[in-house]
Amino acid sequence: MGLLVDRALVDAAASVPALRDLPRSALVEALFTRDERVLPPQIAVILGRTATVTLKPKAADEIQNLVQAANGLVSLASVGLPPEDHKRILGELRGSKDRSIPVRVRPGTPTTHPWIVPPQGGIELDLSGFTSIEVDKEGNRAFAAIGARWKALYDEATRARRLVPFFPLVPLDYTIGDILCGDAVFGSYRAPFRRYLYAVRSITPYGRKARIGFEEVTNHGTGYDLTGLLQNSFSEFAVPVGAALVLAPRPRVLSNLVYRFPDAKTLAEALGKLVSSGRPLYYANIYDAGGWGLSHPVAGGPFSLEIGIGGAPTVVSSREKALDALLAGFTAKAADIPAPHDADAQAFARNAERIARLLIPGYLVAPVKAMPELLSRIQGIGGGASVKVSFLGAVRQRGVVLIAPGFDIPKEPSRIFDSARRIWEAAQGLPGVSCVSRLAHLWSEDEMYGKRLAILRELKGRADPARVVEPMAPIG
Amino acid sequence: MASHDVSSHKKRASLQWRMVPDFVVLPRTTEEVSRIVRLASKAGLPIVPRGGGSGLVGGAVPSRGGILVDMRQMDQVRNVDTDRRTMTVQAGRTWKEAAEAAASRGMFLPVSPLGAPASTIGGWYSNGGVGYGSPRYGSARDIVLDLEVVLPSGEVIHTADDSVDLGPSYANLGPAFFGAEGTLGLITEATLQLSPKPEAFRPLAYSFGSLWSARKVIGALAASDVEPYHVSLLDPVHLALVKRVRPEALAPQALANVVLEGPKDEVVAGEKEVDEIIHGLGGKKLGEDVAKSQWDARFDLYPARRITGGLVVAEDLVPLKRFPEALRAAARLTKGLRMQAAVNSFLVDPNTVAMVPYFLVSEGKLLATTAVAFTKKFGDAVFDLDGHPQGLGLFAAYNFPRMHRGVAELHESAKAAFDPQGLVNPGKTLEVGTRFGVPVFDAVSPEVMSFGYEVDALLRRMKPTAERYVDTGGAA
Repeated sequence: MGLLVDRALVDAAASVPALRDLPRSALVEALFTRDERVLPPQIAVILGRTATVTLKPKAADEIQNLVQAANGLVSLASVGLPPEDHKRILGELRGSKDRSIPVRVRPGTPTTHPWIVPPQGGIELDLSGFTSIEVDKEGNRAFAAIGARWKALYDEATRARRLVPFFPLVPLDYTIGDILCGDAVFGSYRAPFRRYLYAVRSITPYGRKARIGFEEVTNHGTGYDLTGLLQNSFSEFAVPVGAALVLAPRPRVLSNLVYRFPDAKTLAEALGKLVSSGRPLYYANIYDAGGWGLSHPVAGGPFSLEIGIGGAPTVVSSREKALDALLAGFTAKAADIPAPHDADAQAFARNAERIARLLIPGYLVAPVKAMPELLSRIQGIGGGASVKVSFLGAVRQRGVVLIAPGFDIPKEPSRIFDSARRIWEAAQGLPGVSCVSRLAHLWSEDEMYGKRLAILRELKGRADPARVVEPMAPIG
Repeated sequence: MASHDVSSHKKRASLQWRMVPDFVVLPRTTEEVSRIVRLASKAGLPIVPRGGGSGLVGGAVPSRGGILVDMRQMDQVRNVDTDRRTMTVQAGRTWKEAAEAAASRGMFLPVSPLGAPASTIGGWYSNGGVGYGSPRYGSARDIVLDLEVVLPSGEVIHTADDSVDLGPSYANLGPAFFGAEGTLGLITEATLQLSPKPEAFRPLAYSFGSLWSARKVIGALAASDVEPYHVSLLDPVHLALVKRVRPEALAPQALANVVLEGPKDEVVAGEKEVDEIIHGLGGKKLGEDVAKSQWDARFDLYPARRITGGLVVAEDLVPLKRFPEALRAAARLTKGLRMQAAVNSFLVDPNTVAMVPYFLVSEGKLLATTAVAFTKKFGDAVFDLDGHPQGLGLFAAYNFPRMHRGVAELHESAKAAFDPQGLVNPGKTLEVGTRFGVPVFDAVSPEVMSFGYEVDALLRRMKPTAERYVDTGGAA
């Protein structure tokens, strides 16, 4: 489901007498791990529910029809469900006070872990068949359906002499839906993903086809910026079917430079110079030896910095020389290793599969200066538990690094929770460092954050009065 | 109330709206704003936030009286953090003053509005601002990390945790206020992302015989390997209007202004490439002094206002690939409506051009204000080209349904979630309100308001003489 739905359940559970005295993080842990010793039956029932039927629509019209039927605007018979599914849904409606049918979008790659609240009956939409990609032949734009893979978009854009200017923080085989509805982190050296999102084609909770934003131009001064507001939570407000995205013209020369560093401190010093230099880069990825090994076919050093630059041949050459001088302290350099996203589709998918085995419980955002201390603290978590930790990350021009720590442990709920808690603790007390994780956002007791969520929850309630699109789970 | 954002059509606008507030307050602190808002809420009085009054669509003008909150005394810089590259500033400070404060600490505020000396931090963000620096750094949305906002309830919230990267943050309410025109709450403070001061900053200027012959400049630069800080195309009519007021100014010609910034070697290489591209399109490079004086005068675009005392400016975002069609549409309209308009344009991102047409209005003359039909008709043409006009406010709220077909409920839900009583800046942006608080008469349909502009257009076409203020001497 999503953040609002999960958070609503945590808030509601906190007022159940049997759970009232639990500290909030213990409550989140009990809910996330489905701890039967702690959870009362009325909560266990919610966590045990599943979708009544799962459908794999082929076109937006089918979804529209379905959402209208879910609203009671058209008859369920007109949807053309298989007879068995039709019977099941009718059975569900008979047993419910609610006359609407909940609809939920199944995301592609769960980046960290599943949400707490499962589908509460109703229809689950598997949109993995929505894979179309159209690159604008005249402009620097593309439309990608929600189930299209980012890598497929990247390759399609390359064929059309364009560049996808936003890159995954972790090279997993993400779909566009993972960016809109999940917690996949994309961005460029210069800007977060939001700058590259023009519009989202959706089916609204009322069953209308709608375009949120504008597909051909950026959205400025037209009322509220809903594409920005709903990012990461689109499927809690509408059924997204695809996105209009900004591309860049492909430069004449595109070069991937790799610099090896002996330790995190030397790397951080080099990064400090890089982010102050004003050099235009497409991406600047960082890896420790483990992270590098998982995403590249050749061995790396203790720490690696991978930079994407492009432009006219002479400009690229002089920029490379300037970077060599700027990044003092590197021990080796290579200019012939392709970036993970430039591997062929099969190799990319194979790497992604290996990386997906890691447990990545969340992300850390840190000023460049704080990176060595932060990495050392997280290494401590792994070391303390004799667990191997790998780091993959990206540098942003604004002077911060985003780090995804990957723990080589089974993705069991208790371990996911434990590692999420530990990386969150590692971020505490380090100036400017924050932890972004689904679980941390659930146990957060920050008053201001709570107020913001309350407004979003109010918006959700008003936008979907029939409670069709991913409704909150009522504790009955 | 006779400030410049309504003065050109004050008499006419006052038939529909009561643009005079009952009270004007000039708070200095967030606490004062909160108390004012609570008081207004108790008394059921509309509250209208107002910055520098440089908006184009009457967004900061009351529609039904009430309390006008003039934010301009909230102009303090709270903090400049050179380590984290952030500046926290009260919302009433102008962008020019904010940029100066950043510069005094060796930092660079990378984007600013065309009207930076008057436009306030809160005002430009609320209007969904794009401007100088947008091709490289984005819009106001891309550099605002956090806003402090007084909600219609009087409660003070922060829209995001400013330590979090804009990408993966959950429940970031900042985008809701981008383009909201003060209809969701009152922005009192903003934390802005700064950049290191660029090593080199280089304005360039190129002359063309006509606007049409320069039409490919913006597209060619957007498709090139150069990443300019700013690219604009000035209409010969604009230069003729400026010259009429300032005889020492440049002779009428089409002018392409390009600004590069970054490390010295990159700027030098970029200049060579820009020279080649523009030379290939038939442009003639002008001297450094001309380029510098153009850049120095960048905030002084409308001295021609003195000719008649009345000025109407519009802003429309057009797909770059359809820019020539938009230029033709503007030329057809000015001819058909028997008027003279200058159409300046600037690059926003790889697909978007902002066109900023303006024209003079002699208020005393019969039918003079019918010239505003141009903004409506040009907006329609821009919609047909898959772009959109910028700004809704009072004067252009009729565009809302066309901008957000199918998704209006979501915008209305957002308004209701933040402002359930509808007290903050009512009767605009999402609705075309009137001065009358009586049901039936309290609103007009967008169609009726559009019809009024169609009548204006008809009257213009029937005018026996055309309005011409300057001669471009062959350059057109």
